[in-house]
Amino acid sequence: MGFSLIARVLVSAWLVYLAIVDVRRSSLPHWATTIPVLIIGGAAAVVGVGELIFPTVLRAPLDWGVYDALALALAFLAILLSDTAAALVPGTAAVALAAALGSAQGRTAVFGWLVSLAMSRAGVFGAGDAKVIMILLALYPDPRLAGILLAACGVVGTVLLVRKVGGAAPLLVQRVVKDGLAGSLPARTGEEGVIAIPLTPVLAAGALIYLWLVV
Amino acid sequence: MDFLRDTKGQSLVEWLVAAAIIIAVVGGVLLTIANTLKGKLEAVNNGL
Repeated sequence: MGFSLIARVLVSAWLVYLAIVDVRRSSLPHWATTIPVLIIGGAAAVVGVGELIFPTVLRAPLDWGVYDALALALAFLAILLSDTAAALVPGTAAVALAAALGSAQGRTAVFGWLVSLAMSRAGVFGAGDAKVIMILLALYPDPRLAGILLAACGVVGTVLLVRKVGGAAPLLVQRVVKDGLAGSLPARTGEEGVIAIPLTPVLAAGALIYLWLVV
Repeated sequence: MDFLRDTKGQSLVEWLVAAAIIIAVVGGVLLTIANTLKGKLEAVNNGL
């Protein structure tokens, strides 16, 4: 997606709407999250395969190459298969394709999609939040945006954690990292967590900083 | 398809902070390795 004023205003309005809905209902509507992910994933598959077969007819959107579109299509296949371990096959293929033949933009989008999917399946954040990250990184596949979203989550999370548990925050995070490495993920243990927050307002703040102050 | 059906918008903060730290550290290490490898391979390529 471009950085024209109209594009920025539309994306900003979408983010503000989702942030308000998330604060009120702790869930996000399908039409604003799932449908765009299906459209982007489907378009990546059509453009990637189409350009591979008919290179002169179809051109990949943005400045993406054919391998970026194919890698994103494989990441989308991993989403469709994410109920089973079979998702590891297209997921690994997407990482390998993006790392070996993709551009920096393609790598950012593909890694962002797969990390978001993994975090959501692990129970770290909701699927609605993961889809918002996926849409943002597909529209603006910029490592700076990924960095800002990660920093926003880290900073806001740290502040909330320190306010809630004070000096015990580092020990709590250390325990969580150990649990995570041991495979005791919230999705498996049903852990409710010390603090549960709607994540979309944090993501929206990060994305708005990127859209209006960085680019 | 559970992922596509799910609309949840909640996050567990302590897990989010831990994940952000792990992603930043692992991502930084991988980026350093990739850049180092790229530089070495370019040097080899230029030497041919």
